[in-house]
Formats: sequence, structure tokens, C-alpha cells
Amino acid sequence: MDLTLSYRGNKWIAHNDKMSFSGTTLDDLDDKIKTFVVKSGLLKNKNMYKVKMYFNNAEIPAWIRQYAQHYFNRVLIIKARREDENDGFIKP
Amino acid sequence: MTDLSNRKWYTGMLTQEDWWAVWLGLGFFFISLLNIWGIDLVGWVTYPTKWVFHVPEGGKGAISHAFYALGKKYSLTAKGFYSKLGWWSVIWTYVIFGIATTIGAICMKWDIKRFVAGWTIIYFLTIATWFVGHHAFFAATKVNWHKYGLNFALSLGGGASFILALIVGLIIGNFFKGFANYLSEAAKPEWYIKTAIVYLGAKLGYLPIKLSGFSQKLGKVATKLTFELFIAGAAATVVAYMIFWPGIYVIARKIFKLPRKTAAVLGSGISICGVSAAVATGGAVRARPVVSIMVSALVVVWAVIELIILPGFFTHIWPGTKDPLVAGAAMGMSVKTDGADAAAGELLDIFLRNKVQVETNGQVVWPEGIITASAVMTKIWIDVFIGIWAFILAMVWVYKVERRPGEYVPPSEVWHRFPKFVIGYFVAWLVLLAIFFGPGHKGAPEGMALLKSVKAGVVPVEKGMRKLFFMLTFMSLGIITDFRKLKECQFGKMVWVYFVGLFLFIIPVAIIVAYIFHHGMQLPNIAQYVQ
Repeated sequence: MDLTLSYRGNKWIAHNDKMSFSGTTLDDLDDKIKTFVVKSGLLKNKNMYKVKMYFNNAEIPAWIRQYAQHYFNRVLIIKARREDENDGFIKP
Repeated sequence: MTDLSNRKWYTGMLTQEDWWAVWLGLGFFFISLLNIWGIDLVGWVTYPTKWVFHVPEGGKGAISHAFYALGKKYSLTAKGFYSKLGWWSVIWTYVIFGIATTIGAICMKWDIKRFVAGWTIIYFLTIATWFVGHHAFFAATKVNWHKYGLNFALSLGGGASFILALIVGLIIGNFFKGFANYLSEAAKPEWYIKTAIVYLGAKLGYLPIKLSGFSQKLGKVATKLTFELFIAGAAATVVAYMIFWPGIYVIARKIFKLPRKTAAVLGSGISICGVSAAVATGGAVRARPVVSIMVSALVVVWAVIELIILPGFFTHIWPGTKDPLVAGAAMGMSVKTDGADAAAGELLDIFLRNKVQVETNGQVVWPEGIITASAVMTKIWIDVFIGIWAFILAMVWVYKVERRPGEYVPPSEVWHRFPKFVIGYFVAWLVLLAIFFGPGHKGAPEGMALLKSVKAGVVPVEKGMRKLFFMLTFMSLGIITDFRKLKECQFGKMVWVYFVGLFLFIIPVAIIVAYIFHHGMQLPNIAQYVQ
């Protein structure tokens, strides 16, 4: 899944043309995305699922863009947890 | 909201200023090389010369010749045409660069009406300050005073024009805020300086060609020196990185008690490369964008303060003319935006060359541009390493400091952060080196005909276009610099961290590191060839 990442007010927002997630911290945002991925069955029959988040650099003020156009991108890997693991990942 | 999920490695080639610096820089550079086949399409570039109101008998400096097309002096195939342009070369340059930059602005989806209006005003203000700054009272060096009928002059060389452009820009930026805001669409110091740095790459490659015109040995000396600067600049930058960042981070955390993320962003902003490092680090440590934005505002203002102070300090206090390349390299590691650094390096170049000429009564003359190159070389290495540093920092943050299960940093971050204008700089340099070492026969007599035709094209680029874009940078830097930003209360401690970190830690360490790696590197003396 590919998402565009933004920071608005006090929230991180990740969205594409079909869905949108938000969280006050990146951890909070990640939890919501993980929950969605698991509940929607995207992790079914897979060991892991990749969510790529591209920061919307248009949100950097215009005067800064001449110095740096790029803020950051991140990738979230959601693994299917095995029965013997307790590493914080969500069980499908 | 914009959906950016289809980003590719080539995304931004037509929509980012960084890439447009490459297109503008390399575009005109390659057009200049058509001179090899006898086609001169760059001789129209305007250039100022010193002038006075009343020309002494037998002297020089008529206002009617204050601007001329460089092709008048250097063209091999169209000298007659370019000789007639005179002041009209100002208009030719305006129209041609106006079209080129407007194409860039269209591709970058800027407000075109505002850009064209802003470009026009900034260009002609720049030309006006360039003209005034070349009055012989400001610009004539001591050995030439008599030619202009003067008994005294400030002897600032071309530096007077740069200082005037900065002053005019700062007056607009600080006292005419509405006007400055109107001009902001075209006041792009980073775009202009990155373009100028591509032209500086051409200058670096042209140095051996120019000096081999004096003697083949000098050509080899210039080649060796530029390679030494390349290596020493890289080594100094790596050492500086390892000292600067931890030092500033500790100062911010331990002395000023700033939060961890703010200290990291500030550490990069002050110690590495200003705005781009602050933004890169903000992203790497997942700080809220506003932290990077606040630090960036500080960086821009402090860089201009450094630009005002450091060239004079390095020229008249230390290291002066004893170690000009130490001064240049230290400048590159101290001034935190490309624009302010290259501008400060250019001023330093002019000041030191004038000073050594005065000190030795004209017995020592250094070639123009090598001190600027030493300032830009360290800065370019710093820029190149930003992407790698941001990547390392992001991994440290994601895997160690704030471990988030499942998150990782894509290696493509390094490419996204890579300063693309550096490609233009190295391409221009290496193409000319290849010509010098290949068909130019290292300046041997059998290669001189070709090297002369290369010179006819490259001089308008490395001299005329580079100086014009430097002037545009000084003017634009002034326009976008608002000193009131320092007073805004929300910066509070950060202003003081910046002040303490920069003047008591970064600059002294930069001087020491520059001394270690550049001490003893000598500039060639070309006095016997130019007098």
C-alpha cells in the first residue's frame, strides 16, 4: 500500500485516494494502519505487508523548498506474528 | 491533498530548482562549447568594467563602455557583432536569461506573472548595483588608480558590487516588506547560486586551460592544485562532520537543555549544512516539520551575518594572505547556506587577491577564482554527505533512539537528498579537464588552437554568467533576509545556541580543520604574465 504522509495542526495524516489515517504521533498512526491492514485481510496468507509512506513535500513552506525539497519517506512492515513470538506485531 | 505515492528516482527533474540549476548551468556550458566548431552563441553575456565620470587624458573608464558583451573581447568568430552590442548586452542578457529562467519557473509551476515581474526588477536592480559598484572609486586597485585619474580609491575590486547588492537587498527585505514579498517569487538565492556553482565547475576546469596559455608548467600546477583541493576538501569535511555535529548536539542538550529532537535538528542546521541539513534531520528523527522550519529561518539569517563578517575577518585578522586556501576552506565549513558561502568565498577571493597585490606592490598576482573554489569545494562535499548523514541518522533514530517495530528507512532517501546541482558542477569540470588532457595535449603547442576556441566559449560562462548569478544571489539573499526573525520570541534559546555554537565552536574548529588539511597549499603567481 502506498500512502502520502502529511502533518496538519497536531496530527500525522497518511492517505491515498481510497483511504485516510491519522494519529497524534507516528506510533499512533502506525497502530491504526496496522489494525486496518489486519482487519481488512491484506495480511492473509502473507508473512508480511509493506506500507510505503511518502511525505507530501508541498507542505514545506515555499521559501524553504529552494534549500531542501525533500522531508522524509518511510516504510512500515507489518509482519504476521507466529504463535511463539511476542514482538509487538499484530496477529492476523 | 496531493497524492505522491508514484514517486520515482527521476521525479523532480523538471520541477525542482536543484535540477533546474543543472539545466541552466550545463545548457549554457554545452552551448559555449560550440565554439570548438566556430559557432559562438554565448558572446552576448554582459560584463561591467570600471568607469569614472570624467576620464583623464590618456586614461580610461568611459561610462559608454561601462558594460560590454564578453564576445567583444574573447570571441574568435563573432567579435565584430558582439563589439557593437555595448550596453545593449544588458538587454540581451536580460531577455535570454529571462526566457531560460521563465521556462524553469513554468515547469516548477510558479506564479509566472509575479516571477517575470520579480525577475525583471531584481535583474535591473542587480545591473544598477553592478554598475555603481564598478565606479573606479570603489573598484580600482591601487596600481590602477592613475588610469582613472584618482589619488585614492577603496580598492574593493568587484567586491564593492557584491556588497552593494547585498545592502540594497537587505534594505528591501527589512524596510519594504510588501515589496520584498512581491519579489519573493523571483528572489531565489539558492537557485541562482547553484547555477553559479555549475559555472564555477567550468571555471575550475578552465583554470588549467587559462594558465597553460601563460605557460605549460602553470597549466599543470593549476590542475594539481584543483585536484588537491578536491581531496583535501573531502577529508576536511569528513573530519568536520565528526566533530561539529556531536559538539553542537551536546551544547544544545547539556548547556541549553533543549529537547532531543530539537537539539538534533539544530545540531545539523548549525554544524552541517544549514537548511537542507535541518530539513533532512527533521525528517530523519521524525520531528514535527515546524521544528525544521524554525531552525531553517535561523540558519538563513545567521548565514547572512557570517557573510558580512567572515570575509573581512579572514582577510585582515587571520589567516590573511599567508594561507588563502585555509581561509577559503574554513569559509566553506563555517557558512551554512550555499548562497552565503559561495558569496562569502567570492568576496574573500577578491579581498585576498587585492590585498596580496597591494602588500607586494604588484609583484604577486593570484588567479581569480581558486579561493572561491576552495570555499565551494568543502561546501559541496558537505552537501553531498547530507543525504548519507540523514540516512545514518534516520537509521539510528528508527532502530535505536525511538525504536518503532516494523518501520525502516528506504535507501532511496540518499538519492532524494543528493544535491543534484553537484552533478552539473562535476560534469562541467570534468568535460573541460578531458578536453585539456585529451585533444588539448595538456597545453602543448599542438593543442593550443583548440584550447583557444574552448576559451572563447567558456570565458563568457565562467566569468560573465557566473558573476551575474553571484550578483543575483547577493541581491536575492538580501531580499529574503529579515533580521526581525531573530527577535521573534518563539526562537528564544535557539538563537543563543546558534550564536554560541557558531562563533565559539564551529568557526574555530573549521579554521583548525582547514589549517590541518590546507596549510601550505600555494596559489600560483601569475604577475609576470598579466602585467
